[in-house]
Amino acid sequence: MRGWIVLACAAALAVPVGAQTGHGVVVNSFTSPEDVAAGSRIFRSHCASCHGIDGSGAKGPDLTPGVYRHGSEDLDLYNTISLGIPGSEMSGIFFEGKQLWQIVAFVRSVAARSDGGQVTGDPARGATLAGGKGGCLQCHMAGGEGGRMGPSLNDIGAARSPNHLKAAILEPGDQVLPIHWTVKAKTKKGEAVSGRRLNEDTFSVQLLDSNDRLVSLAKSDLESYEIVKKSSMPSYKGVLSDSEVDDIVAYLVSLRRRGAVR
Amino acid sequence: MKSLRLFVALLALAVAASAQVSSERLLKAADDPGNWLTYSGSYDSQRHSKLDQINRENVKDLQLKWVFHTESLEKFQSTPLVVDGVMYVTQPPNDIFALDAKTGRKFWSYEHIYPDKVNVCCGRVNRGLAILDETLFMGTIDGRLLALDAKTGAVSWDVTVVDYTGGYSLTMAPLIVKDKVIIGTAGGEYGIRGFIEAYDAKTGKKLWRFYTIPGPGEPGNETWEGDSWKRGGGSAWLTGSYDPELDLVYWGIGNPSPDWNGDVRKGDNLYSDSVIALDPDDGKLKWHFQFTPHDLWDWDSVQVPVLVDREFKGKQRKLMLWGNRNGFFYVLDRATGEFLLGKAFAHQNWAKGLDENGRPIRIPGMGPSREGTKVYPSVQGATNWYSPTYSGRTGLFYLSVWESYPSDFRKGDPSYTRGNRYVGSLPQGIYPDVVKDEEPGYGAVRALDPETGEMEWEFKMAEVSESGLMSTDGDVLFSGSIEGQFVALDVFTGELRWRVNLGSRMTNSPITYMVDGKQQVAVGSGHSLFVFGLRD
Repeated sequence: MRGWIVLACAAALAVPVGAQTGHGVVVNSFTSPEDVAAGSRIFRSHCASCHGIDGSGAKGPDLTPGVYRHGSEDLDLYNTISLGIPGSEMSGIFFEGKQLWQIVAFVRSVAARSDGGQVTGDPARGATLAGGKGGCLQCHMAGGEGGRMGPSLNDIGAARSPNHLKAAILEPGDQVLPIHWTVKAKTKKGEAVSGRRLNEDTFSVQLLDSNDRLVSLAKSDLESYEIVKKSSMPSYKGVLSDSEVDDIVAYLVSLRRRGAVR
Repeated sequence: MKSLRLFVALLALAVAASAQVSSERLLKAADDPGNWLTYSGSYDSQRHSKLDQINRENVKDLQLKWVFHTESLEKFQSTPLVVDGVMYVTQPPNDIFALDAKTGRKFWSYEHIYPDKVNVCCGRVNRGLAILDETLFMGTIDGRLLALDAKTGAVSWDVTVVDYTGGYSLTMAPLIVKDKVIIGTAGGEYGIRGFIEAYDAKTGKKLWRFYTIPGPGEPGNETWEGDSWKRGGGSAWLTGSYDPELDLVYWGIGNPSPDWNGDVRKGDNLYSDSVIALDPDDGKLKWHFQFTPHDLWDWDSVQVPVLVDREFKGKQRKLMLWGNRNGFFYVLDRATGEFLLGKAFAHQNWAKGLDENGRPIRIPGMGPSREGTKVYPSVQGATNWYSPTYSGRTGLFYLSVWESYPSDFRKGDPSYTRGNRYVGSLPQGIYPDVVKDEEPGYGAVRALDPETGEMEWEFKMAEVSESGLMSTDGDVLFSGSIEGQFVALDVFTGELRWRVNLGSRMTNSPITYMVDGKQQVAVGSGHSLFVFGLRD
């Protein structure tokens, strides 16, 4: 209940300084380059350790896709920044009105710099390509089907912009987050085990092996153990036509878990 | 008749259990190892227990006795107290539970109502309680100091120490010295002016305040340019130590503000990143030693001062041992503050070493920069607030170490608005879970020889540790990891003697106590407290 009152107050605060459209949507009116610069300074002091100086994410989520789990409207961002996210490490801050809107403006600017892009392809054709010529589903799960060696794409539309997805298909890069590292191990009994590294601690490693088995290995049972930190995803430049890539992007953008995004 | 005798026996037990925790009893806490009476277990803060039922040989037989689940998703950083069979533990941020230390069953709980928005840099946390006679004391994140009846949880007094809307918060367990409750304030990221205060335990009346950042006319104010002292930081967010013979309290002081841009606070910035020795009766400063003059990296020196009487270089001395966030291990004479020894205990690249007075010989160009400067240790430090331990049986000092973790320190323009962060620009940490192009470092428990600062052994972990340590006369050292592994190590060799996966990050320090003549070990993991004992 207390939370609702605060939310109501924050919304009440927002209205005088934001422009209200006919649809009842509160829009940030502090969006000048000066506002963005001011927002950037506050962001560096309050947000950058988790979201990165450029908003590209570190310990906290990447803000550049322009799609946010706790709401993507200006007022959603305002409230999220003001109140924080309960149960997470993100606390609210004491700024109100103008300065909060300037942070919103800066967050919008990093999303704009990443140039989210538009969907131009056909999602149905994209779905067919993902399962066929593209070969995406050999490694990735999408729409509940596919392989398990790559990250699941089941909710990718909620986390990545069209341009980000396009770049990831054409130039995947070889750097991957630790959750996508792979493991090559050999047990003292001579058995070779490899797969996706799901978890690891001082004494053990958990992986999804190449036969889709969930395997937990005690390090004391291993003769050798290697972590492969490179991505094994190939580039699709020249493999798929421009329009085929656009179709796959359209399909991926459509993949959103119901209820995940407001 | 038989039942009457039992009743009388139980009554006697109950009376014994109500014995007060007098200030004399606190002085002898180390000789009362069946209880855990202060944040660090005893005034010397060695976090070493004389209990030896659980030892290197039988520690493998530990089994779970009970679990206490908090109903809070905030970080669980509280060290419980145990007094005559009753455990007092805080649920973050500021709820208190009194539990049967044998079964974990609740006697009473206290719920603290606090404002919706409280600005704390690093979580709505609390690190524990203090007790004197039959009264518990707790600082709160909304700047209050509470005294509560240990038998019922009823609040006997509740004073506002400081206005939390200015970025202040109280997160440490208070320290009782004689008839006083001593506490300091957190908020080093909010442009505060730090202080330590003493209150009358009976009435809640404020007795003295020592500003950790000296004002005009006070010695040390000249180490601040202009009026930068007004927002100079110097928080105190961990419990200090006390030497009854010298009658001095020792406190570790936090970073200067703004953290990562020193241009607006030229000078050494006393007493940030220092240890201070205060007279507990009037709060007057007796001596200080600054570890990191003009800190540019947020290396709070809040670590718990470990007080040890031992031979050093052939002479019996009253020492203070200190593993600092800046990567150096220090030995000081705690009567005078004289620097006796200093040596890096983890990889660092910001200082060539320490001079004969213990002042770091800085390497130019290692401060935060617009383009970023990669510095070891990271903003989290080579160690941080995790309690170390000292065992008189080995003569070794043990601490949690983050080895080879750098941060990318960026310089930004600080601007002060009341209650908000006043820092410059936040560093970009290189964490094991976001490593992009760096090899991850590792976490370790290390044993150092205070005579030389040399490492005797280390216990390596795949990831870093945020857990404090505790050693015992059973020659076992307990620690944990952010992996959730609770480990028992041999104090002589670091060899692993026992472990159990408790399933989540360990962010407090283990303690040990006795119930029914049996030694127990308690430790927090995730949002729960686990208690272990030997098989019955």
